Amino acid sequence: MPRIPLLMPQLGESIAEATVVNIGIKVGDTVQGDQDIMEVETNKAVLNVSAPAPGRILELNVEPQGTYPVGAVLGYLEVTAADIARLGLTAPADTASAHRVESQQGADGTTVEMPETEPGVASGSDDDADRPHFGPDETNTGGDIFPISQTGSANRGENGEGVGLPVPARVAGGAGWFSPRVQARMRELGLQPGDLAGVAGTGTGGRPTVADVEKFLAGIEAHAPRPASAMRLAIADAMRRSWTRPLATVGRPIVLDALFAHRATCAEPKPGLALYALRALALALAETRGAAVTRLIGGKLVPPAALDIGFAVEATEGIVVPVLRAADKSPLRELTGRYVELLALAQARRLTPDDTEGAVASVTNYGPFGLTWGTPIPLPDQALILGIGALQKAPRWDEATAAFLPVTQAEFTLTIDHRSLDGGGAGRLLARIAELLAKPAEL
Amino acid sequence: MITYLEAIRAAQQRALREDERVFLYGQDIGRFGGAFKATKGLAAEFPGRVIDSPISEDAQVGLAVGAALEGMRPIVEMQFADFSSVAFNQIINQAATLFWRTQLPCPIVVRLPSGGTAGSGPFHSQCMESLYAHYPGLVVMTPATVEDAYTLLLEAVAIDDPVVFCEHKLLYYHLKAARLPEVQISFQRNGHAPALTAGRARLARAGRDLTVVTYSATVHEALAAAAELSRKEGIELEIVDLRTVKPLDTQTVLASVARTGRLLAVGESMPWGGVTAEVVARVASEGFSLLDAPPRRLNPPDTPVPSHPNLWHAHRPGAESIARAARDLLRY
Repeated sequence: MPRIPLLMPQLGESIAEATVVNIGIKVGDTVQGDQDIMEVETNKAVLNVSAPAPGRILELNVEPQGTYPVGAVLGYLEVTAADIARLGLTAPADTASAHRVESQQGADGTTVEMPETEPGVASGSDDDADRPHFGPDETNTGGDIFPISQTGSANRGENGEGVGLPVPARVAGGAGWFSPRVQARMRELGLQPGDLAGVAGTGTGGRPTVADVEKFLAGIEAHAPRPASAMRLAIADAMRRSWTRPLATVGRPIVLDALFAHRATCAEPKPGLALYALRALALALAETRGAAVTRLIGGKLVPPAALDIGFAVEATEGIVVPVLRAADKSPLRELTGRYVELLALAQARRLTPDDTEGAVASVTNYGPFGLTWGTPIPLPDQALILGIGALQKAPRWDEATAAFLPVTQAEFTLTIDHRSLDGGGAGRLLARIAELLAKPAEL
Repeated sequence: MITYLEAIRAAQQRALREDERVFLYGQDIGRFGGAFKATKGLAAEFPGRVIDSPISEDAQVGLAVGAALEGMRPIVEMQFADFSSVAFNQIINQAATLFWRTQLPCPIVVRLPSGGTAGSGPFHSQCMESLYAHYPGLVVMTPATVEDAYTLLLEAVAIDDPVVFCEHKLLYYHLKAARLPEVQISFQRNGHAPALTAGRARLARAGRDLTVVTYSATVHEALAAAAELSRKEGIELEIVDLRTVKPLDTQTVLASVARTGRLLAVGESMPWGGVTAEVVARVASEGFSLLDAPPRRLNPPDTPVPSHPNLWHAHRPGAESIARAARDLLRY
């Protein structure tokens, strides 16, 4: 009896492959048409693969937890010729069981080769049969899912549109791939992949060619660009590197009446809101032995050596972040003197690397700009940043007097590296900071 | 008009005339004028200096090495390149290493009629430049034009290193030029000698889309492929004619790939570890950041040269297979 291949179905617009999580049948089983025979998982959902016709499972080529591309042959089903005719299925031309490579017709009639599931067993594809074979076989690249020629004409329609299988995730020549030549040009010009996000590529698979890059840059010239300062470039690089991590931000308002009452009693120089917050952050971190600023590096948890915390100061052309060392160990009064020194140095642009390196966290106060809320980005070598928004008078429900009472509060947001810290830890840290700021005399 | 073969004859004639140390040695080259008539008339013009050898390539080259040690500058004609393997030991062990071992130069030229014709079969069709290029101490020349056949043979005689001169049989009678170039050459090398062109590649065709690096008869196949691709598909190939495969002009190749971003090295000798593999290796390692696509090569399949004309046609890279390979690379 003839047999038909069981193919990994097209599971979604952008899905290129799926992982087999459950095989519900074994070789020899009889199945009904449309019966679910295995479950596969994509990055979006778990889906069912069903039998296209009633028949008997002849072969299964899949393993649990194996990942196979859309269109891969998962096995073979023995079906009657009548069913093939009735359901309009196509039987493969070559039914020898030694050949595991199947050809499937793309929409424009070109043959598209499926991956081999057994190493070393090559099929004679139509292409090789009538074409004299010149030189080494460069279409078989071993580890790739699809041969190189796939990316070109094989899966393009008449007008160059993609047909048949979607572009496999790992193929070279897709839109995000830059050739060595383009990369070299990007390096020469100091371009990042993000800078070229706006370039419509004319290369294979929509990828940018050197000509596209040059044209894009020529277009920019029309806007009379000027060189960025070294500080701007340094910040850009730091933020780009920081952003490669999965950052998350949580926030809550903190009532500050007690804090401002305390500040009124302080001698000059008075500590600012950012310094209060910095001290509270340091104490809260010390209580948990720096749990929230423990970094995850190469599978290891790296606790902080000291609770050195920075504070952001706006300078011309950018931001500098001087550091207060061991902020958990000095009371607020002592920190204030050092804070004032560092602030003066920062504004005079006289900070040294000793003043700015090695912090485990930072504090940034954007309230003076009128911002109530923000999602600051930690410095690339730090795991956490505490942001402070503008002061606002707000009504707060007081249970005792059953009335709304006015309070002064600010939104505090905490951005964390979600690889090493979760929402719970962030929330508890903020709650503790709120508690500490409610008792400013103890800071 | 002067043919490629006549240019080779003219170069030998000039060498015989201008340098008394030169003599020719080969099978049937005397009164018979050579299997391909490359020495026609020269035995009469230069009595005693165009000498018939016994049918022993080993002895031919051995005698030439010995003569070179005595201060002569012999040109050895192999009847077919394929037979030179009988002289392999003399060429690669004796001639190639002589200077390295003794500081005595070995200024011999071994002329190899290379490449096949339909039906010539595996012993009359080989291209052996890849084999000899593998050995240090040899210079390997592969002229593609009538002018280069003349110029490079003169330079081969003037160079003090042993030179393997690969002439392509398909070009002998069919490739013609209007006239021979003016070549300044000094065989005596007393005082100043004009700079040699050996070791420098030539841009046979300028193009924007893809660099084809090749040599000898394949240059003409590549030019045909380029004309077709340009006319029909607007694809412009740049063609680099290596002229000498050893030493190999890496600089010219890299400069071309810098312009086009793609490389296809084409050759008529076997694919395994040959000239095209060398070009690809150099471009991949020294010119990686110039590439938009992997560097590729096109050679005959890894089989002996077939006898049947149909198989022979299918075996060697031609305009059609070069065009196909170029199109594939452009789609990458």
